[in-house]
Amino acid sequence: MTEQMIGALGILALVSLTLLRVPLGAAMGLVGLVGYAAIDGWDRAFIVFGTTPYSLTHYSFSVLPLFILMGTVATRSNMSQELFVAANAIFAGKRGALPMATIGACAGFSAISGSSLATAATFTSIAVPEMRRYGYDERLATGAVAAGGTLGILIPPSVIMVIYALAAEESVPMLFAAGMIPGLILAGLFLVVVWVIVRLHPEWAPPVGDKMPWGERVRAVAAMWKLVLLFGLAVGGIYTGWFSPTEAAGIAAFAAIVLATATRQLNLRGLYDCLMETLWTTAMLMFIIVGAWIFAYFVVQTRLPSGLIDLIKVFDLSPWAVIMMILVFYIILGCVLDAVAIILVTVPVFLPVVVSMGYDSVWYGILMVVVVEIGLITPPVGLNIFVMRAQLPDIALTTLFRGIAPFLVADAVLIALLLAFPQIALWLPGILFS
Amino acid sequence: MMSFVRAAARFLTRVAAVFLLAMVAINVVDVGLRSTINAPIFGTYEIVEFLLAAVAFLAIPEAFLRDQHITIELIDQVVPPRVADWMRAIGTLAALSFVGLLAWHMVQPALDYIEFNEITMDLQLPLIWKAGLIMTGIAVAILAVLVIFVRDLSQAMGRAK
Repeated sequence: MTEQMIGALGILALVSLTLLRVPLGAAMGLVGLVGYAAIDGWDRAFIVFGTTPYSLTHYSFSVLPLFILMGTVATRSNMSQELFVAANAIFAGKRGALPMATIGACAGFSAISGSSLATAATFTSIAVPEMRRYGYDERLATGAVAAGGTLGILIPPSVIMVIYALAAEESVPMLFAAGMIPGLILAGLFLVVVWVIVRLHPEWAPPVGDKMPWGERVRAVAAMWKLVLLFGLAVGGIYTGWFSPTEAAGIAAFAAIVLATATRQLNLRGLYDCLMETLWTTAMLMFIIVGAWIFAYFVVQTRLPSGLIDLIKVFDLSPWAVIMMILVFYIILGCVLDAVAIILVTVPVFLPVVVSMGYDSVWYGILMVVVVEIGLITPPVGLNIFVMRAQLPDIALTTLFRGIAPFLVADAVLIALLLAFPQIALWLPGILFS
Repeated sequence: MMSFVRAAARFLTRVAAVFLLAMVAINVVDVGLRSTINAPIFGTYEIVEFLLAAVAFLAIPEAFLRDQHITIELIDQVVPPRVADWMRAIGTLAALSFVGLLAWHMVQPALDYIEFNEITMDLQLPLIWKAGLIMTGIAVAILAVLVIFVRDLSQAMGRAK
């Protein structure tokens, strides 16, 4: 049996094990071990297996728990509520103001949270009851929150981007910069979707309310200073050259704790809960990363990527056709795997192929993030939807999925824009790192 | 057994919390000293890596006990509950094999750290300290997964009866 056949069998075994409910980290680790042994013998496989956890305490990995801590503290303190009030002040007086405010607030919250699930969960409890109170259709209300939540992993800082950066050995600051403009475009496209929905279905949104006086608007927007400060520290500090990503994450986590404590949004008990939550999330990610690294060593041994490149040459496929095939594959994969898994499983296989065709790995990372976002809001494993459902048990799952459907058009438009104009992702990093 | 493992897992997560706070603190102090008196803490990278070993691995047992590890539960929707229970037990057994094998094969590299007295470059910290933190997390994780396996197996057998 050739190495590449062993590789293909390994991927098949991985998909089977995960579908059979084996925890993802364990499935990747076991397949990686057995596959590596099949190619290079058990002795070498066990050496790789046993030394992998020790190699994962590299300094660059420390950015993960620190950004997660910052996001957890920001989620627990009142910053999301203030953001919602501020975004509402901006859109007040327009039809569909509250769903638009929800998307605006989600975009703002993404700049400090780094997680789609946290963003969706936070705004489900803040925005959906408010929209229901004013008589918005449940589909529009929940669709806006679910879609807005996905901005969490595209607008930096983003935990998923950090994971991609670690797996692809790419620069975290480059990826953060590359995600900024696509994130803002997607937020804008979501606003357009709301605008179109309320024009097609005026009955889904209540009549236009009173306009807010300008003084009140300015006061509400000014209350966002904490967000601006945290974003400035977490992301701005990296680009001004003041901090490395890990230092920026540490400083931002510290600032989030100080701000939340000073404004009485966080007591000792709250801080303890934030630390626990951060550690469980970090441990869960680390367990998957251990398995993914072992699996990646196996993929390298199989020379599967070079096999795929040969196959592309044999069939004389254009880079465009290959990218389209990979996108379709990701959308299908998004139906069975979650975002972290998709990135860790596929980067070792596809990234060398994509790079060999002349595509930029930073651009590819952003494209991947946008595509895995779709998996967060589509059945059957749309995690954002399930997090919302847990908080809104009286709304049917079908209503939630129907609500999100129009927003998928915005995701499709962004993917098309990224394919047609890669500069959307690459212009800002080019300017910042030229 | 169950309460001992839960207590041990919670203790390790609390220790990791102290290390996490220390990681925040060392970054803040290092940046502060560097930007004010141009005197960063010597060996910050190495200290952060040691702290990371605790932060990343000591909470793994509790993450298992809280069922936080990612599993794909699609199959639950299409098979009878009894079959789903057995599959859950088999999935946990696979996780148990993984952490067990991992722990076993992590011993030799750790012994090598001791035998060759491997240390970090700047602060000359023994690498076995870092390995010890990681191994502690993985070792207690074995007990945590064992507890979950017994729970899942009893549930599957209970439903079978």
